[in-house]
Amino acid sequence: MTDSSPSWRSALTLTLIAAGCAAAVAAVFALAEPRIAENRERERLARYQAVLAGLDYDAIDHRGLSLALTPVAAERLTALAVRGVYKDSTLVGLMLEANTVGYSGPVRLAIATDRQLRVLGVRVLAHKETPGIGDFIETRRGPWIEQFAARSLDNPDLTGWETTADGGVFDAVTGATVTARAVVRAIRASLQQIAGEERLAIRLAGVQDS
Amino acid sequence: MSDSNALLWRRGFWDENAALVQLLGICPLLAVTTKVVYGLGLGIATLLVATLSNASVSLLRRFLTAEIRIPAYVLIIATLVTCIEMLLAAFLPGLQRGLGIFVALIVTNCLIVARAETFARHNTVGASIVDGLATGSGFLAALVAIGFLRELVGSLSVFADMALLFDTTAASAPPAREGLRLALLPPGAFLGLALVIALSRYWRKGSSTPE
Repeated sequence: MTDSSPSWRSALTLTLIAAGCAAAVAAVFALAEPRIAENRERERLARYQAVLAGLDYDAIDHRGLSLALTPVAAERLTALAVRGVYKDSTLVGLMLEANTVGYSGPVRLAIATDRQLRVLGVRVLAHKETPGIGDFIETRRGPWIEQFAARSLDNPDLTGWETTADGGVFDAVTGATVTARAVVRAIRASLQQIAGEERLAIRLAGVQDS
Repeated sequence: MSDSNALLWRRGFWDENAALVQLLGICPLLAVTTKVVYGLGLGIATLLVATLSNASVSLLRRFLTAEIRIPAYVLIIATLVTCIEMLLAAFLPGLQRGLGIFVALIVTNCLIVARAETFARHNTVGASIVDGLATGSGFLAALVAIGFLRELVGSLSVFADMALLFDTTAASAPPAREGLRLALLPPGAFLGLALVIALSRYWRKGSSTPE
């Protein structure tokens, strides 16, 4: 090796390799991203369909209306967005997307309700709970998440909106107390927040599909 | 080095099989082989990364001085894996969801960096590509064999959900029947691997010529 400072040459080589790699990733990203977004949207709609089972509807707001969390809701949720669900342009239900924190990271829930805030169904959109322990919240692992159907803020009353481990009516799960508790309380907090929102229907009209 | 292609194939695929002889890349192997389709999916992804990384490293071998060799491998392999993961998410989202984190973890699969370090940096592009194909398909074959065994025993099915490999909108269905659940759990993965290793050893012994 000559003494024409090989480390400079190496640094240059590595820089060029890094630039080439960045270019390759950028190119593939540009190619794949639209389809990835499309897939994500399709998956979202499919999950919405699953939670909206039993409701006669023909449209859902394209974007969600993000709500400013009340102190009560902010204890359990990190974000809450709501979309209107319509039949013949009449609001027939709400699709809530609630973000909370589980045992090992954020949990995103889709909660569908009718106009009286009775829960139609709940699904987990994304989570990072431990496989085999905390993932019972997914439908493919079990029916746990189904127990919220037909529930509302007065069925059970507020003290009942807990897991059985905390003296409530919803099944606790051994070994995953934190996950179950987080989901139950997130649903309760979402309903509480929505119940306290004023003129929600009018505000939703602003985000309807054009 | 002037190894013939046949020798490269024999060595990469069988004699030094990454999964069954060198026991490299065991973590993803144990994790995803609950079904043939997942084994095949991860196997093909690994095969592609191994071949392309071997080709790139071999192509750049004159420029890879000792001080930048390892960071260069990391860059190249991470780029390939990132690209493949994005393409999977775009075109085969069902498969990507099934494989989960293990596509991204191909980056850490020792067999790939091992081939780059021990083979591709000393050999021509052509030989490196053959080596990548041979090693990758050896790994793929092991994944498929273990997946077949675990799926058969655990779900009483063969080749379920293969549509995940080519249908953009396919989603995996939960197994229709339940077999021996142990086979689908982590211990079943170890037992499956052990069984396939044992079988391949028995076979090796039977076919080896006396020395």
